[in-house]
Amino acid sequence: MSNKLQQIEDTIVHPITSTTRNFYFLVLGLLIPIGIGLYGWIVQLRDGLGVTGLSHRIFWGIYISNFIFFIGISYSGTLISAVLRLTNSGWRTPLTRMAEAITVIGIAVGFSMILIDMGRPDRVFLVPVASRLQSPLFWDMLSVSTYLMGSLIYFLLPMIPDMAIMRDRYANVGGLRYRIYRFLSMGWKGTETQKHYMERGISIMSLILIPIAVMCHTVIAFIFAMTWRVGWHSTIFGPYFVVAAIFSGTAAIIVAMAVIRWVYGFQEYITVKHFKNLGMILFVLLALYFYFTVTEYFTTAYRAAVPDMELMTALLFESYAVYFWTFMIFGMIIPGLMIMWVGFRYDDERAVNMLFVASLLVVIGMWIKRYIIIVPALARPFVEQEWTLYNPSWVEVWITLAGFAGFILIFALIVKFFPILSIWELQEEEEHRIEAEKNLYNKYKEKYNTIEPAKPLDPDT
Amino acid sequence: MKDDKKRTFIKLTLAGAGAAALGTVAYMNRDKLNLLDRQYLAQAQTNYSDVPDDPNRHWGFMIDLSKCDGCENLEPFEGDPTGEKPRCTAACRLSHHYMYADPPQYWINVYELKENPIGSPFFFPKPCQNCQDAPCQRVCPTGATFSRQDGTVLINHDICIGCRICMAACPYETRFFWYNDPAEDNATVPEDMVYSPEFPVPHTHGTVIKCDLCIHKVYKGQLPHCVTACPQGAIYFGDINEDAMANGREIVPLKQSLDQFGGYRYKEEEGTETSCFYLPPHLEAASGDSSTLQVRISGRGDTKTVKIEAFHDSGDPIKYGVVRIFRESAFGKACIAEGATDIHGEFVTDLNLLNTDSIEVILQESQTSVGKKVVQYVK
Ligand code: SF4
Ligand code: SF4
Ligand code: SF4
Repeated sequence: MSNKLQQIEDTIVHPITSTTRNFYFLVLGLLIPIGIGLYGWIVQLRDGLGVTGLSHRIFWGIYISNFIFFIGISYSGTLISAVLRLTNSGWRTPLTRMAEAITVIGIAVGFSMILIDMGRPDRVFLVPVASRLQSPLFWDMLSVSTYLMGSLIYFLLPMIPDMAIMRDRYANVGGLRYRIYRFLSMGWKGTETQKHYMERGISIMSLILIPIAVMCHTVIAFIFAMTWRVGWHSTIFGPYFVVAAIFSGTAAIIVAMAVIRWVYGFQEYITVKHFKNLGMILFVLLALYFYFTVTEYFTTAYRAAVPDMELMTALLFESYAVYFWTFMIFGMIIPGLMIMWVGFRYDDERAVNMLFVASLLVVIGMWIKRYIIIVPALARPFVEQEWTLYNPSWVEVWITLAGFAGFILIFALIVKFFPILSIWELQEEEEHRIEAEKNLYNKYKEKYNTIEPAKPLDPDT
Repeated sequence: MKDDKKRTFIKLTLAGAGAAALGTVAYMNRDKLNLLDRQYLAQAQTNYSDVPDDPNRHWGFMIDLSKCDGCENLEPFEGDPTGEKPRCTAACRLSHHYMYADPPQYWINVYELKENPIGSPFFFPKPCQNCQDAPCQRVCPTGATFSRQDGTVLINHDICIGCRICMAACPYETRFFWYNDPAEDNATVPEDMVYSPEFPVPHTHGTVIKCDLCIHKVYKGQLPHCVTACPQGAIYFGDINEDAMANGREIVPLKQSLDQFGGYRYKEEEGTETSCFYLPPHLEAASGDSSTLQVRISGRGDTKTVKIEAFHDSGDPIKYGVVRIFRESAFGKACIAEGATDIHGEFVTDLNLLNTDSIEVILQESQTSVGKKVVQYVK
């Protein structure tokens, strides 16, 4: 194996083999909100959902916002990995693993939010048992669990060769860690047949996963769109939610990429070009989401049916205006301008920094957007004359924080135990590059037999 | 480090296994839809042999909005921690053992509504509308919300998972959730009470609940608690197929009442096919011809000013009464002016009248004529 290839492997494996003190601090810091959140959940299970700020009129609150938000975040894997894999975009190689990890974690955390929101989580098995096809919730559970399974497979499948590398590295250490790697590498030897089948598997999974992901978020949108509520019963809710999900998912991956890059010094593999490419995608999605938002609100406002207008007024000018305009300005307009600025001006590290900030703003903005989709539509009086108020209680706030902390913790642990960049794909890419250069060198050698090219580019010596 | 690793692995495996199990179970049960709720129903119905289910029946309400006064002039109901006045709500709370629910529940709620800027506000009692195409039932993932053969929509609290999507679906806000532990309320339930969806006590923590139409009473030939508790007799209940509605004092035909007073169903446009009919607020046709109607004609020449003042016997002005003025001439009687009295019960208009004409003034309040007067104009 060439030095270069070995070097790739070593850099990527480095975070796994060595753990800094900061890592333990991070884990500890994350365990605190998780602990409080767990305690909050126990209190909620004991005393009932009365410990939340929910009421008979606003019966869904930030748990449901979190649910949509995390499922949305999970779209990063589907988009970056499946779409870019299918379209054969070469530059996606160092990003796929990370995106796939985010997908799995996002779905898992999102799913736990539904369980937490339920009055009787102990009875959740009744949903598949009863299998009532006419209920949007049945489809919701079916699609989310399918999506989780699919993306778990999609996370583990391209990791098999890397698991084999890890298995071989830990062969003489032994222990549980070795056994796990051995199990996950599934007897990988790197033969041509194995390669062939794995690649087949990956393409099939990326083909399957895209429609599943689209369906999954459409069904989530349908939970709302299929009710009799002003502000929810909208025909564009399906695509609106799907675009929102891809949008926030792309922003999330940029944030994760930047952090991993800084922490582990992967500058060589995750380059400014990757950020600029993703930034471009993010900008297109931002424009699309902006377009959907304007369409949704403008048509409603122009027609100005009384119930619609009550909601619109509260959203744009009254009680929820703070949230709405925060989302609009800090979640859409400013990030949009920042990405444009990056596109025209920056080609160095500043591009990464700015895109990181823009993406963070987008992620926060999209959480707020989910909140103002759920809460005002419930707060608007349906029969009564008064708006209902909703203030999340400490239990809800801490469970939400625990959700975010859990998300980061699982991500950190995955980084700790699995190579976060795909070693074999990067090596393969490197091999192709060397191969191409060799060919070029030979071609030149034939042509100008006597002239020695300036310097052989082949590092394989 | 080893333990951390173990945790991740176990987590991942568990999540995968759980999701796989869910998917498989869902798939395996695809031909046994509603298996569970049928079982529970059968069980519930044997527990309550005195609640038969007759497909020929169709229970529903008729609510006369002109009678409901929101119990405004009564004291708050004693023992109700919310300190609210409506007796229907209180009676329902008392009999269904949910006085101490927190936040308070309103299986029947009385709203004060004002439909347009000019009309007066009125009180609007709202129980479950007992939809015949019930959104709540459609969206329920477990079949906990179900319709009996007689069309009554009920909830089986043994299989409700508390997802609350039914609350999102119900366009009438008639569903409530047990946020707190109903222990305090359940303590008031008689020991031997067996739960059934027809009489959903003792209550189940973490489930959704709503008006049960007192189906446990009506099959015994009794009226729901809210109906008998209403001091005004505003709520009528009965079998819509029989076209008879009773409020405990009188039995009235449903169709005729609807025709007479322009009855309607709330949010008809939702297509929910509710079983609750409302008679819009109308003033009672009591006073008849006994009210005082004064007509004064003044002025010279062809144009005369006609001033009308209308009072009830009590001295209150008749507001917004419809006034029609007819002119009697050699050719017959014709309406020459139409309008409404103002808040002082007055109506003033200028008319072309000949000295020999006589005019007839008719005053109507709602559909009932309350006054009639013939005046001969003499110079
Ligand atoms: S809360 Fe209960 S009754 Fe309502 S939809 Fe969910 S399972 Fe059905
Ligand atoms: S009024 Fe609401 S709770 Fe009652 S049947 Fe209709 S949708 Fe269901
Ligand atoms: S019909 Fe029975 S359950 Fe329904 S509001 Fe009246 S008293 Fe309550």
